[in-house]
Amino acid sequence: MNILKNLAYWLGLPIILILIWHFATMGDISPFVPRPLPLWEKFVSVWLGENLLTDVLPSIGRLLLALAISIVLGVVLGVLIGSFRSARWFFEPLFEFLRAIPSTIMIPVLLLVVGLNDNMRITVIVLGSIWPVLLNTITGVRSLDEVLSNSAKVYGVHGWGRVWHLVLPGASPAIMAGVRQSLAVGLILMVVSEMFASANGIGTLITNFQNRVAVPEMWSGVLLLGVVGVVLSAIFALVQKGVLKWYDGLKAAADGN
Amino acid sequence: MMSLSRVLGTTTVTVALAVGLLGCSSGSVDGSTVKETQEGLTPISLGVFTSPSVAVIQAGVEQGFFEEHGFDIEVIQAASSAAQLPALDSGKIQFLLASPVTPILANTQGLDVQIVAGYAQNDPDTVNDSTALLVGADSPLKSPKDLEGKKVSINALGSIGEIGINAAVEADGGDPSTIQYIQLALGDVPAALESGEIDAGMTGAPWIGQVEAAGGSVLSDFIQEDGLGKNELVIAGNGTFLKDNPEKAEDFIAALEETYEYANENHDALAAMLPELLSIPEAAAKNQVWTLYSAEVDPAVLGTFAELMTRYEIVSNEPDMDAIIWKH
Repeated sequence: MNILKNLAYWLGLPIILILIWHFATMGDISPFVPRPLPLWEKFVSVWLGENLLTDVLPSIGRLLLALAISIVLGVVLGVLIGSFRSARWFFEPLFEFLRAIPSTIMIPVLLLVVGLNDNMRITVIVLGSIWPVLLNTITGVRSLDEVLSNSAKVYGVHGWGRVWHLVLPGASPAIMAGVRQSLAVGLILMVVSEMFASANGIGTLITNFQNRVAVPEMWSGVLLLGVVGVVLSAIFALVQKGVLKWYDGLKAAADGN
Repeated sequence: MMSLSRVLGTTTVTVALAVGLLGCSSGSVDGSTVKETQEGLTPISLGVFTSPSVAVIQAGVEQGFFEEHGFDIEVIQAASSAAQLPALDSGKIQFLLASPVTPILANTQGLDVQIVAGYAQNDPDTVNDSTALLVGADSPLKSPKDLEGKKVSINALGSIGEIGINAAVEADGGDPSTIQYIQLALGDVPAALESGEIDAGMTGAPWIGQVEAAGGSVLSDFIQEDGLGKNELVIAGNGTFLKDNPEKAEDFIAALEETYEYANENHDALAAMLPELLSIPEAAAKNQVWTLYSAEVDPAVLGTFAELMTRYEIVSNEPDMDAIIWKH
């Protein structure tokens, strides 16, 4: 019963909205307005057929690879820079400057420097989505619990042990908040990077449909992006639950007191 | 809780979007209702895309050709003509400068859009007046059929570039279905050719000169070779407006004809307007090669467009050219 109730909560509003949408778009209206039924038909025929292999998977692959690079690079650099106060002072103004530059504006330059290939597209995504991870990691490392930090020192925990058992777990709530932001940024940049000089991908197909006045097809691409976003954040929620188990427990205990 | 707030957030956005779109569709101006201004002029909007051709229309406005024919004209600039189709369909603008591909596509998608007049004619004697397909220095490609299996850039997928190059390759005995097209702005082509990222690229003046200066050459002046040049660009109109105001449409075409005549004879005046209109350097503006402007609509040329678009599956059902070309 409980599962049914939860399901009703989850799907209730979307179903009501889709019904309103359906009835509001009946009759003679502009062909540019999306209608739920044709949109769903196109979604199935356009994205779940041949294009799944030739466009959707390459896009998702580039996105995941770029996110992995951003997270690894962001955490490693963040831990290094966050651990030394002088390094923080040295780099932070530069980072704040760089993160403010929209990486899409760099596409023409990257076309020249990196070339017209997947590396360029991955670079665009990384240039945008690394900053939330990097800056959040620095902040997380900086604000480690001082008592824990000093205790670790007293017990002689140094080097890798310190990073693995103290720094990374201690900074993980901040890191996860950064990762969450970079997922959203990455998805946007994935699409934009494919709108320029690309031969495949979700963004390329959407632009192509727009050029061809294929309106329902174009809207179905927008729907697909929404679905990808929801799936990404669901996966993220699972990972976060595992990584931050101790943190959630700590909070629950603190709230209990 | 997190998931619920997420659902709420998403749906709020969806509602806002839907309401916004419905607002657009119901609040739009009907193409047939055009009110006169106090001076007795009919307000009219023409959508153009960013190109030197903007100067031609602007010159006509400044010379007063449109006012003489009873119009208070507003020229609206956008990056591409496809982006202005919704405005043309809803009647927010009455006329649109576009490649014939756009109105033909729009028609097969059920939009009431018609071709009313010609605009630019590709001059058969010059390559530089329009777009062509170029290759870089020392390219092994010698003729269109060598493009088989190669990476070729065009400014927009599904455009005149795609059908035009396909047709040129097929006419040369090649199989166009093996070509890999990528979308690349005309101005990015010289660098991409030089770095070898693409095997051939579609570009126009002044970049054709830039490629040639770097040792590259024209592989195919495909628009000309396919016989599409005579109606390379056309003026499309809102179908409802044309049906309800045939005399006004005639007047508009007359104003266009005077504008074209002026443009064909006054290249210096046009060039002088470019730096301000398009923010391009004065030296480049002086070197601009102007194409021929003509209001003539050639049904045979437009028929070729429709045929190529059908053959290369840009449209799924065959365009009805009788319905697409406006009858005077």
